[in-house]
Amino acid sequence: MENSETKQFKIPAYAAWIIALVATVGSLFFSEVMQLPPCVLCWYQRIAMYPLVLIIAAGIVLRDPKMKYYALPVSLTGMAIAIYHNLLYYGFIPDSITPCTQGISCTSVQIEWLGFITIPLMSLTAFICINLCLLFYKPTK
Amino acid sequence: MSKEIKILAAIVVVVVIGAVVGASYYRNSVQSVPVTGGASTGNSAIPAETLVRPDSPTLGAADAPVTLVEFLDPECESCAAFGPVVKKILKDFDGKVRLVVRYMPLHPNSLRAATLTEAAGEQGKYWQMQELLFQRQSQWGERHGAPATAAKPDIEALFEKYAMELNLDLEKINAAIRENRYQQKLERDLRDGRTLGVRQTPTFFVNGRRLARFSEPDLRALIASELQK
Repeated sequence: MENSETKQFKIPAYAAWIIALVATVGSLFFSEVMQLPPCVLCWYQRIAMYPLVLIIAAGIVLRDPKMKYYALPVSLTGMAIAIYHNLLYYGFIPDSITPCTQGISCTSVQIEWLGFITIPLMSLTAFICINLCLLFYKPTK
Repeated sequence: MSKEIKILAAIVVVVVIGAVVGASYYRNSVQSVPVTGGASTGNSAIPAETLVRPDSPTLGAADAPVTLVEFLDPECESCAAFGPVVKKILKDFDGKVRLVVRYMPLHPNSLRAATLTEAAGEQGKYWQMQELLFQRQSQWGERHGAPATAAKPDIEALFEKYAMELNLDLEKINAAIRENRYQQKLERDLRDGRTLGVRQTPTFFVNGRRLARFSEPDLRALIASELQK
């Protein structure tokens, strides 16, 4: 049946997929249920996060060892936006040069669980974990 | 169907069910306690006056068991669409619901329109003017997605026309608009709204409990649950 090599392929892929799925549903929960308006940068990160659910799922179903080559460009882009957002959010880049002019400001704090868990931080963590999962598994065959 | 598809589908089902249960739990927790009031509600930080000010426009019996506070914007399209629903709810609950209007002026002409309704109220026609402004909103209001080059309506002339339609004393109306007589009241409402966490219009509070999801059935259910107390 399955050897240990295919199992190694599967676990990080499933982990990356579950993180993307939870991030997708979670972000929709914030905006649709809790009615927190997403800022412009949040939308850009959503554009990267949502398709990852489908892309990684397709890679899992096809058992495609090359999956990371089409998932990583999307997840790395998302991480780049998340890094920029966090730098703004925590004041490493001055707010005045943000592209956020419409709706909610990208630096307004809407959630702060346990005193440090914010929405941009959750997004960055999710992208980093997805990237690590995709980078560190060894596709066999 | 491959094994992978089954695993993925099972996880999706679990996550979606979790989200739906979480949504219902979250909405219940938002609606369970009044946002203002004494220590008994755990929200003693926000005084009750923030929700209902003595000079706020009110419709219905003062001793009605349910007070429905609506934060609205005369220029907001959803408020206009929902206007008849609110009136119908007041009628259906047969005098048991009192409506209090608070302003959340978030559009370019909201302040002017709110001033017009307040000025009409001086002459006893507040609710008629509110209804008229909602009905004719497409004539005077900002249209979402309209090109910047689109012709701007002549609001001054339109508002005068509406005032004449309701047989109001035009001079008094114009004086109120000129003096910006209700500026302080409107700014206070906006501040109160922000204090209460109002982020969109319309936002409803039923005896101080914030309606978590904007829909007619949800609003009716929340009112009914207050009446059962």
